Amino acid sequence: MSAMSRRDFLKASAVGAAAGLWMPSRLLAADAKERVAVWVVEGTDLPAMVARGIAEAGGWKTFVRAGKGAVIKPNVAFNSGPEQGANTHPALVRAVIEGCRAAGASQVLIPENPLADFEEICAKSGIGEAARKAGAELRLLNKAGQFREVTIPQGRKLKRAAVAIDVLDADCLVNMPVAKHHGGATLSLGMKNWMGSVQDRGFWHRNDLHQCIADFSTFLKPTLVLADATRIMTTNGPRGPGKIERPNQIVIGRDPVAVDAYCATLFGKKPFDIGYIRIAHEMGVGVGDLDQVNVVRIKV
Amino acid sequence: MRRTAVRTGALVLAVLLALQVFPWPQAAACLPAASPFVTGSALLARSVVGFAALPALVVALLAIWRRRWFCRWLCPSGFLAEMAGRLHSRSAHGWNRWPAFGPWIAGLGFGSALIGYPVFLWMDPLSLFNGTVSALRWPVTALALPAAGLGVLILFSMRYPGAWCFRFCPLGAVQDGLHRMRGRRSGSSETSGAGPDESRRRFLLLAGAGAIGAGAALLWFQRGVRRALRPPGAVEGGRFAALCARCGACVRACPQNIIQADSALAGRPGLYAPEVRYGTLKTHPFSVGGYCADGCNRCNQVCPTGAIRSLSLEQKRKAVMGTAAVDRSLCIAWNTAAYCMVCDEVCPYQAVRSVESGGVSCPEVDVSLCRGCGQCQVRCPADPQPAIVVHPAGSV
Repeated sequence: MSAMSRRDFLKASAVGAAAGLWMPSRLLAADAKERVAVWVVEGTDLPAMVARGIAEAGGWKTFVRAGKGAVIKPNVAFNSGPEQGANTHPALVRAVIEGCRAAGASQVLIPENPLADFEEICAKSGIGEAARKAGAELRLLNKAGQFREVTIPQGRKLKRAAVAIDVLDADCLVNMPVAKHHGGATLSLGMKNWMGSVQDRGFWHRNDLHQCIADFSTFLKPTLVLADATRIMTTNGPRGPGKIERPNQIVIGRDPVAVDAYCATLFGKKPFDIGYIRIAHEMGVGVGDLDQVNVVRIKV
Repeated sequence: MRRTAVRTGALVLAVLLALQVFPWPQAAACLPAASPFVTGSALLARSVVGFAALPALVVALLAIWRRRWFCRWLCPSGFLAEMAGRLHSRSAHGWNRWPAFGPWIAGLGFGSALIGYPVFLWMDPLSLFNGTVSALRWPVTALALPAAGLGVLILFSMRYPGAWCFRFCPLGAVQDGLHRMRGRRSGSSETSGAGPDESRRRFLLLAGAGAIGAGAALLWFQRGVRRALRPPGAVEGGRFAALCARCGACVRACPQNIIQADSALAGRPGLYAPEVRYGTLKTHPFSVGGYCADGCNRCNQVCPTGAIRSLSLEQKRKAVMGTAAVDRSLCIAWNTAAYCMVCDEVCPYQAVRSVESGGVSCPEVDVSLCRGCGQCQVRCPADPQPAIVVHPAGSV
């Protein structure tokens, strides 16, 4: 199957829908509503887990187009080490960068609007070294010119936002959040991770944070979500230090609500306990009810 | 001329030191610390001296060897004053009959330094020069005082060439005094009729001046100055305003540009001593600057007098600049039950506690952990002003 970008996916859906109308058949009708899938890979060898999980989900060539760029958005906002769990594990970031490059990505970019000194963050988190070794560019977003204002038509509270141009124009966009407790929003998972790609986070806090997080996800659809649940901070998030638990899992999926919903259960929460998961499900961003999600478990 | 060439070179070196172009941080303190008046006062006041003060020893030895060699060959302010003086077509030397105020200024200065409150550091010509040059940056946040002082010095020298150097300058007076220590040998013809009785009377008068200076300083400064946020490791309020030479080194050194002149005139002013002003989310929308960075101790390395103590990075991390306090009427969590806690997110010291109120987490500052670094203040999304603000130490 040839590589598919987000834009191509929409075109293909349109063609597929037209074909379905033109050629009705029992086979097409039966597969018309395929269940959303989430691949949960459990193990301790992080690069092997990424490789196996991506292979099960369709392979890198499904997500990355040869000759086009890829953008990765990990959690890289805090000046702390990999074991604290505030940032995405650098070994995972490295594995994803290498996977994108192997699939033919022309460049891999990691843009971030962080919460502390970026050079210190990159050094302490290990993501700086991971990017250097694997051939990706870390880009600090600190000028208004790096953002573009967009309207969010389905937004109820968040109707416009200045979003990182790198993220908007990404051909392949991979959301790589770390699953962790969050003092303000209960949990910080995938949908909340986009707050590091916008210019004015303050607006979200002032105008119903959970609604804004869901609103934004009606607009921005990643190609892929790969959540780091190898070691999760369960208290004192998002910075910590806090109590660390070790599910030793990574969670891969195309549906950001489903991925977030599964990750919420790792903290002993029901998905709809988290405001933005419930709202995003209601707004049709994705499937937050795990009964409707096909959770594929893989052990490495 | 050889002297002009040397003086130009010294001026250029002084400019470079004041602009802090050298990679060694303590170099920024070298120019003002090179003055025996400044370093001597600092030693008397705090009994502490750093490596940057070694040039002062050299200058002192120079003065003992040749009374005003430093002034004629090296002093950048003196060079500017002399150039200004040459602009006059006719030389006005009426000031020859003026009494020498310099020794009184130096005497008052050292006397007040003895009790910990040196009063005349800001008049030092090297400090004035350093402050003027280091203030040259955009935005101009730094000390207008030294620039004005140097300006006055130059204008005054246009009208009365040499009057500053030989009648007012405390550093000049210190050199004269040091030179007199050589004893009553052939050099005594340079001084004006200084017999043993004369010099003892002069010494007693100066000591008296020193005592008066000390008393005045005690009265003014010991009652404290206006409470303001000072750089980390600053000595306490009143002593800070006295011990600071207004040299501008810390203002220029701060990578976050948060050290500025305390220009407030109300409430027993700190008289242009540096104070810290944090940014807000509006002035610093991105994560660049506006607060006292955890990994920085530049100001602790560049202060020539020790008004900002010389602290290692570890020591500076423990230094308390102030304490943050949450205004619940402005905080969006307390006031409108919004999901926030950004102050908790960014605090490097875990000094913000989470309190449940109105169904959401709300912030409360743990005063025993807060250092007053200002990250919470800069990041607070409350509109139009931050709900969590750092207050000077002791005022919460």
